[in-house]
Amino acid sequence: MTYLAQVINSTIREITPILLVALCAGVCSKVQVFNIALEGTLLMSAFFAFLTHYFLRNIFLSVAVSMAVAMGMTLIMSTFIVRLKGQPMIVGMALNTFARGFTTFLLSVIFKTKGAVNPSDLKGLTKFDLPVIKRIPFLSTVFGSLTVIDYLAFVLAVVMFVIMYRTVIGFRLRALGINKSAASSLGINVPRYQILATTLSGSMIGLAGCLLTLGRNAMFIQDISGARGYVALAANNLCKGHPLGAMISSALFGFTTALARSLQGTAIRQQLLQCIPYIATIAAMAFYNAYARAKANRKL
Amino acid sequence: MNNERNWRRTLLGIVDTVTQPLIAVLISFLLGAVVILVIGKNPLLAYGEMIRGAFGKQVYLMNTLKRATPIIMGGLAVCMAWRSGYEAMGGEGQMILGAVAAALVGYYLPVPGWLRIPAAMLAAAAAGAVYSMFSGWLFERFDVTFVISTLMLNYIANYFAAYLCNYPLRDPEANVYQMQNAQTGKLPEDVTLPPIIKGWVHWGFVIAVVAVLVTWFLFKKTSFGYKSRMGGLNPRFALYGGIDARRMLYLVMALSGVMAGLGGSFEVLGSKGRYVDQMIFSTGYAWTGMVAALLANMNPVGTLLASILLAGLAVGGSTMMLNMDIPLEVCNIIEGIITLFMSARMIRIAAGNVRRRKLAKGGGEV
Repeated sequence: MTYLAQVINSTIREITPILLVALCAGVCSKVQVFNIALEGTLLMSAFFAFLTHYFLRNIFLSVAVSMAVAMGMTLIMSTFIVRLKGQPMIVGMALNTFARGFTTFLLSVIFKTKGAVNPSDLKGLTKFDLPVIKRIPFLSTVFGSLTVIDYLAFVLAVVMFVIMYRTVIGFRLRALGINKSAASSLGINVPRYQILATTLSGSMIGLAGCLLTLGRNAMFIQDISGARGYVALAANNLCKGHPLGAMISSALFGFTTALARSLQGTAIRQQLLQCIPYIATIAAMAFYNAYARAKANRKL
Repeated sequence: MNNERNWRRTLLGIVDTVTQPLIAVLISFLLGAVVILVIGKNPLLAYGEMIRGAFGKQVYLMNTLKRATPIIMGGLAVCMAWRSGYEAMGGEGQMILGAVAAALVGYYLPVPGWLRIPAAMLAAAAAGAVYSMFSGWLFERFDVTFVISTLMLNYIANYFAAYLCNYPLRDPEANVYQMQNAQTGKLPEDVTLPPIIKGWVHWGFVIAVVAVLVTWFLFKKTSFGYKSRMGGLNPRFALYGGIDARRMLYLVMALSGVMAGLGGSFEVLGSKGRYVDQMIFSTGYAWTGMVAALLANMNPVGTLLASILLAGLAVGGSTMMLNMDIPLEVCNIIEGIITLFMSARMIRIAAGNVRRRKLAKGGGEV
């Protein structure tokens, strides 16, 4: 029973960074800015969250710096795509290459290592225990030692839904995504909206970055983002940019990752287990698209 | 008047294609210099060291060409697919499977050594092609976008290869207690691609250059090149023109996979002599190849040159690291910035701005 609770707990921890990144990807896809720099942005913000915390020992400042770095990366991304008409795929890959090089570079300059930095005296994000649930045995493990940002991720998903589907700004953003020229004929400054929307949503990647490096203990490992940016892109593709759908699709990936981890030590080799989340991603997308296609055919 | 406009457009085109890479390289090296300055080293000395380490001596130059070989093949794989409008990034996965297939066939196939080399290359090409066509199938049958399917398939291939070289294909002579990446058995001497002349780069490089020429020929001189290009530019027009889009998709993806798979086999047969866990993943050959293809705007010959330059950056970077204690990753930073500035159509946009400003002032006809 405790084992099950632990698996659920680790699933939640796996979900939240992906969910936050997927929410940003959702905004980007709604305003027609194809953002594949998610991975690099996540890596950069995670690194700078750790770096700030390491030197200044201030958790709030490191969250702020992480969000600022993520917004900066997203701003560069969207400026190059929207204003300078860069090919989105190339811009994204360039930023990912840069982020990988830059973080490893700083890691080896500052910490003289290329592996992991795990200072034992450094505490991570403050844990947040729900008042009543803390006393219930099973649920206390399920919701045990989650950080504020973990809860915030789910709140943000709802907030993003309200913004995108229940406000004028959200309506405009979705409208310009559907038809740029129609939106601009209504007096919407399309490039400005695109850049602002993507940059602001980039702050959510910053939160995800904090979770990676400061979520449990404070530590940084080279390439800590570990394809979560790409997985979030897939999660967003699966839910077609809908913030509430993102909760479900990132849950799928969080669950498979946690499952793969919990099966470690069994007869199945670890390397094969590590394939599971990626196979699940492809399978989920294939099934969903096949289902959507069948449904569309039935309607006709 | 009309003539003048044409002339101006051609000039703008030339300026656009030549200046842009130069500016991109300049900006990236300047920013790289800033990074080197910040850690208290002399950027001029560092760059000098880098160039010397990449092209300074015959040994260094051969190292650069050796490293360029898989990068060229990865770049050709990207040229092939992207020109046809399939923005696939599966080169890495295909290269990994190609490398594993080559190592497997080269080590275990019970035929004489000289026959094992072509067999290994064939197996690598087939592995790459099948894996690449699988992502094509996912796209065609289930609408799974190439970006996502290929990115996922890359990770799957890498973990699967890690499993293979850790367990079933593990080097029987490996020391279990030694701290090193898992690897397959060392290929015998006669199953490795020999150097062209003693002390030179191995034959894989020659095959890569031939592959560049073949790709160029395919693109420019055959109906395949035309058809695939049309499919990429305008799928509806291609359909109207009677081009079987499905067949083109699988053909293009297969060829792209063959290139990447062969690239992986060269690394095993020519350079390492075995598959070592993470050897393609950590070196980022496929990504660098993609950058090279992008820099060359999907031109095969340009890809060849860009690959050699980027390989030189990495090889020179390690000399720089050894001699000046500057982390190798400066090269990744430079590579990223070059790509970023290559992506933007800065010149054309700047020219457009000037033109617009002129119009706003009412200054003359443009």
